[in-house]
Amino acid sequence: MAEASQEAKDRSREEDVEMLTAVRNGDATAYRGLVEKYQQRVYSMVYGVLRNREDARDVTQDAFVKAYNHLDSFRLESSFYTWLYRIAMNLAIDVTRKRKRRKTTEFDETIANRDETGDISDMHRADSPSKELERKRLYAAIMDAISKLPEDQQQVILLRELEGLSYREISEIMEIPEGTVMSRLFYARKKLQKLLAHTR
Amino acid sequence: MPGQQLEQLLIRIRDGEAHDGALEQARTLLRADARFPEELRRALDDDDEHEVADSAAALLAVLGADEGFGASLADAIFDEAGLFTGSPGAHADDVANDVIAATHPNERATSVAHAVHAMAGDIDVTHEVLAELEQHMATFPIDAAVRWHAGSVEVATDVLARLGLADELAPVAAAVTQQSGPVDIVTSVLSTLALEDVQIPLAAAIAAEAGEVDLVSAVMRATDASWVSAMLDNELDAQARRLATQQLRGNREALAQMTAFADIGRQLRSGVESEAGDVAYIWPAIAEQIGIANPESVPGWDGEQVAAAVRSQAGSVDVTTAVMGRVLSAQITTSDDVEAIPVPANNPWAPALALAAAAMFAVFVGAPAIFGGGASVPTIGDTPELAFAQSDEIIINDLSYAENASVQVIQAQGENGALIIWVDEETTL
Repeated sequence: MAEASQEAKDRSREEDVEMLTAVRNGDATAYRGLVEKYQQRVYSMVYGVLRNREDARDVTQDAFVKAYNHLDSFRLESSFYTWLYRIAMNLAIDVTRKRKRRKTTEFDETIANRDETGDISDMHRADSPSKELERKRLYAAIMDAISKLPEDQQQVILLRELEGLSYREISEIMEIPEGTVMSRLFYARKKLQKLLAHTR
Repeated sequence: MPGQQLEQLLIRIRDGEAHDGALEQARTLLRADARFPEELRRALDDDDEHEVADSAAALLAVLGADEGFGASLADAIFDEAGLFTGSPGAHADDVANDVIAATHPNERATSVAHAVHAMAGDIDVTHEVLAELEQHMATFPIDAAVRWHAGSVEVATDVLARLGLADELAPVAAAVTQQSGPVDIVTSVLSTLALEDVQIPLAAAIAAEAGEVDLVSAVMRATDASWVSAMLDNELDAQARRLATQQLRGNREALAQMTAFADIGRQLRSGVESEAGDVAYIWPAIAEQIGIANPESVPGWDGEQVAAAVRSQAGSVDVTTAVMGRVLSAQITTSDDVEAIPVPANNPWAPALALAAAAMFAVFVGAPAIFGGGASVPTIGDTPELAFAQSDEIIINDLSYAENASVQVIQAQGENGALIIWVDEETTL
């Protein structure tokens, strides 16, 4: 099973190389394949950081554009998606830092969430104790707790839990040793466990 | 010569073949022989013939003249010192031979033999042997080697680096230092000294001194159980995973922690998947930013060419005039077999007339023009007969191929279904 997974990864990487080679040879439309292949995954990860669909969409677009504009500096023997993730993660972190500087109140520290249009709505309704509401409550509590983590711990927890990336892949994205990935993940989870103890 | 004579006598004494006078003669020669240290010159003074025989063997060994030195020395050491008594599997023969083999087997082991024999009967032989070996292994003394491997910060550093915890040095280094001295260190020491194949109880002696410690478990206990996280992520190697599994069996707290970690991850994934939804179609925006003019273009397919081809076939038509001309001048004939065309209750009569006119237009003009056929374009003033086909359910497909045109294809079901193309008045064909 591990071998099959590795084979799939190898094939995926070969596909990326083909598309990237075509782009470098002048066929810009070949980049579309890469966009469509990774857009959902990048978006989900960025959403985990920003928790706003519009912002996540914008950052996702910006990440792909930036990657395209810097393709000359990308080595084909490297992994495109880890490189792309690094770009996207850094852009998302930039947005969160700007938000903090603006001291925006978009993300209420209390139990709040955004609805489908991206607007904040108070979903803490005592008169609707459905399972869906409970799930949303827990999710909001988790995201609130994650926001309290240091940036480096936020990154590793999102890359691991949302994308299922290995320690090696996370270490490549964040440019830190694998052992540091392991320790940061542990301390991030431990802190989340502590912060969420009262919600369970 | 006295030297050779002494050797001959010692050989006979060793082998039990000496006559009465041989022993006394040997004693005399030995006391005057400068090749031997002072304390050995009276080695034959013992009255016990066995002791004397052993001493003779030892003296011959000192002279390098005893081919059976190993066995004789072993016997001597064993008899005198009771060396390594109680050590599991230890034999004096092995000790003697291995000690000698570990030093300089091709040279006269004068000093070693001297040291061993001199210290026979005392557990300190071990220490003395080590001291002598140290002299012959100046580049890497055993004690220095053990000290280097056991209880040193290097071990802590190596372990921490292996576990990726180099940033958390202080408490872990202290824990590892306290736990220093595992058997693995002994193996490492012997390997460094190229003695790993030597069957000597040095390893047992060092292990007895240093103790046996499960170093990995000790470090794991001292490092906040961060391996719990790695275990959850399946990132431990086989050996570490085995140890971690053992730890989990007896550690409810760690098990509960791992479960909590898994729950948090699952809820996070579920929440993001539900809240984030699918990303919108972002390619057009990206394409615009990277300079692709028409993101929907398909290489080799030029829509403008198709439009030009249709125009060349269809020509230009004043739809309004044509439709009204037909509506106002046509004689409509109906067939008794044909049901009346149903008019939707909520629609006025005019759109229905226009629809009928367009249908006629499409059947007699548009369809042949687009799909081929020999029908000529009727002009205003013609009075063609209209025959409406029976229709019940219809299927409408809306096709938009250009900004200013709207084409509706209406097809009636059934065997007599007609293909109706409704063209918006702004369209030119």
